Amino acid sequence: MLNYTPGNKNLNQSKTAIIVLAMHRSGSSLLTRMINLMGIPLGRSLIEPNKDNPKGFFEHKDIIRYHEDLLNNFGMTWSYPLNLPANWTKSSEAQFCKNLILEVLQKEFNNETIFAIKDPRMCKLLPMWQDILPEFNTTAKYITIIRHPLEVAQSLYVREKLNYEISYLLWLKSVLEPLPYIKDSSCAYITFAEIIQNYQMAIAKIGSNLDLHHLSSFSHNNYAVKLEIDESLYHNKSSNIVKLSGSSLENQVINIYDFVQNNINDYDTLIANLTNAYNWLNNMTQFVNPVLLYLYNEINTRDETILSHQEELLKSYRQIDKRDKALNDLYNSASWKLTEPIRKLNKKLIKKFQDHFNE
Amino acid sequence: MQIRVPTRQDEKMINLFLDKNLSHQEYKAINNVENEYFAKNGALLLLEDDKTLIGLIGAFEQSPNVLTINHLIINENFPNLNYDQDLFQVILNHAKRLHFDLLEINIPYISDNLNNFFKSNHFNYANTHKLQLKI
Repeated sequence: MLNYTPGNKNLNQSKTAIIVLAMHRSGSSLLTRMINLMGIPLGRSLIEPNKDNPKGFFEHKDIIRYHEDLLNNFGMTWSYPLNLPANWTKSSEAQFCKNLILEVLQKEFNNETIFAIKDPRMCKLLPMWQDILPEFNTTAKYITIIRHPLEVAQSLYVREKLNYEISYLLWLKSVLEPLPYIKDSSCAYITFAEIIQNYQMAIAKIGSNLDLHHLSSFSHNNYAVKLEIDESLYHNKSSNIVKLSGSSLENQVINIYDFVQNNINDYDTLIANLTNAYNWLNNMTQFVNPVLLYLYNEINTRDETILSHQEELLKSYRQIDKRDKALNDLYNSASWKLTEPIRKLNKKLIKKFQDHFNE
Repeated sequence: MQIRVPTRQDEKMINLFLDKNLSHQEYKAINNVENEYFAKNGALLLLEDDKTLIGLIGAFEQSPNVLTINHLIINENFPNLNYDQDLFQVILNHAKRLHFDLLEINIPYISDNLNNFFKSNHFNYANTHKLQLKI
């Protein structure tokens, strides 16, 4: 049992990192905040709240930036559903990222015995963290929060019009890909629905599964915590689940979610079946990945073409504006206005001349 | 870069520009922009970059249906920037606005580049020795 006292100065003691793993829009911010309110530090430099997460993301600003930079170096973003290149953890880019993250950990958590980190990108980048944490004398404990894939897909569609099928694939990968790295560690699974139904019980379950005593002893009298969590829960109310695309991938992710929900408290069964699903995904990915990679490259090329056409169009609009302005300037110029009587006179003279000639 | 309508105060600068850019050929200096262009339903437009004259176009009414372009010059230090197209397009729009039927080129010396430019804008020698564009 780990006895945690906030503010302990244990420079040389081994540390514990609570890693929150989740697909985007799965309630991981809420869960991380709950953990944080129980006294587990997240670092000082957190991403500011915005309209997508008015209460905050509870993600470390620098870590997110380094994760994003690393994915960008491989031509990816968080919404890229394909695998990272083989042996990417050995790449110079990954090594560079590791060093930067180690600096952040030193700066933020050197005096702590326990801390938490949350970033949905970690589901993809977990292999790199397996190298980072031992170097920081830290053991990881994992919390995986899973939300119904249709709610996630709906939320991502509303937020950024992300295609449902891509959301499902991302959801599937976020649930399954961390498995090989976490199944032999201290690990807890929780659904977003469990938190919504009874967050005190959900926190206590995590505390018990991860052997974190201070999470198990959630204070029911901590009104500040209750108030903040209750308010957040109100904003995260679960919606009615309606099938979105009817695709076989949609059915597959719903089946997996249903299985997770039904077996959430039977860890061995859950891990065994998720491992089977992971193997299935891995096999499927080996076949599908090259095709998807080709299509993604194709899309990227076309996006670039569209972008360059848009730039040209914008340039043309600017030119048209410039020419219209010049024409307006001409008709409003003193020279044009001054010579108007002469133009009128000329017109009359020409007409008179023509009339005379016709007679 | 901006297109500007000149006044009589600009005539000296315009003639210096013509002299510099048309030194290899004969040309008629501009004595009165208002009489020579604006009074004749035409226009003289200056193209300036940071208050430096880098190009101009001039056109005037030749007859009730014909607008004649007698100058289209871009300083050779500013090639391939479509400045000639910018100037020409304003005159073309002006000709359309004033219901001219024909745009005609009456420039004493038409270089290959200028010839290509007018051809790319659909001018041709239709039964005449002058480049023309039906509007």
